[in-house]
Amino acid sequence: MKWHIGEAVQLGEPEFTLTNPTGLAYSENYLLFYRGHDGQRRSIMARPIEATPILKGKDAEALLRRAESVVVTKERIAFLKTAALQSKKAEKDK
Amino acid sequence: MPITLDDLELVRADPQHDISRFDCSDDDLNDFVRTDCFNYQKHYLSHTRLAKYRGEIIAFVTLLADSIILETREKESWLPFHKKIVHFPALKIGRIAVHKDYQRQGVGDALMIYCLGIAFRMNEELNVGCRFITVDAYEMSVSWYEKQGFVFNEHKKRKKHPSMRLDILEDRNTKPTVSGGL
Repeated sequence: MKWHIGEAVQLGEPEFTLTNPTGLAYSENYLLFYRGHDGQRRSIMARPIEATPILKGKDAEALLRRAESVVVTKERIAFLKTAALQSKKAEKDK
Repeated sequence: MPITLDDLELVRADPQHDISRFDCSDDDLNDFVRTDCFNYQKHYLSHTRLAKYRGEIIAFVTLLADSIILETREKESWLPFHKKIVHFPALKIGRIAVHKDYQRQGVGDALMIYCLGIAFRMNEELNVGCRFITVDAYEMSVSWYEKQGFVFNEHKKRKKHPSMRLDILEDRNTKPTVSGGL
């Protein structure tokens, strides 16, 4: 699974892969705990690129879905603005 | 060619309008627009717009304020904050009907765009929050609403007049098209 590095830590690579990390979810970012090659426990902030839940529990699932939730598109807002203009234009008793 | 919102004139329902010839093939809806809608308007229970096409009243839509309750699984995928919100503001389509001679020509789709425009204007012009359009659908119209992007509300599951909602911010990547039915 690939991850974007969060703002808290710089590893020198924009993307990286961890195998079976554990961690906690914070908004779109996850605080991941892992052991480095030297055996030391480390943590990083990261955001998943691929949509594969690795955390347990309903909170983790909900947060992952939230991170993946679709933001309102410009096209939708443009469509609604057009609908608003059309609706106003159609009202003939104003 | 489908009839679009640009082709329609929407006027506030008034007893002065001759609605006697309006016939959508549903007696309840016919009675509502011919008589009841004026009382509803007078008491601020709903407001009705008549749709005129080439001078003839061919449809109407009745709107009122509403709120809906969403179950956790219905909101957790898109609500990025404050998951404890239970009631969500909505604009309800109380009634919507098209004259039987003009059905399946896009008039219902045009009125749906009108409703979306009203919901957007509530937010942007009146500063009144409104996220959904809701309807208690006639069973025969459920598929038409689904084509418009409506989904069933989990909280009000019922067979007769099922409660449905449309998220106005959800991009379905399609504009309503002539979809049969209304």
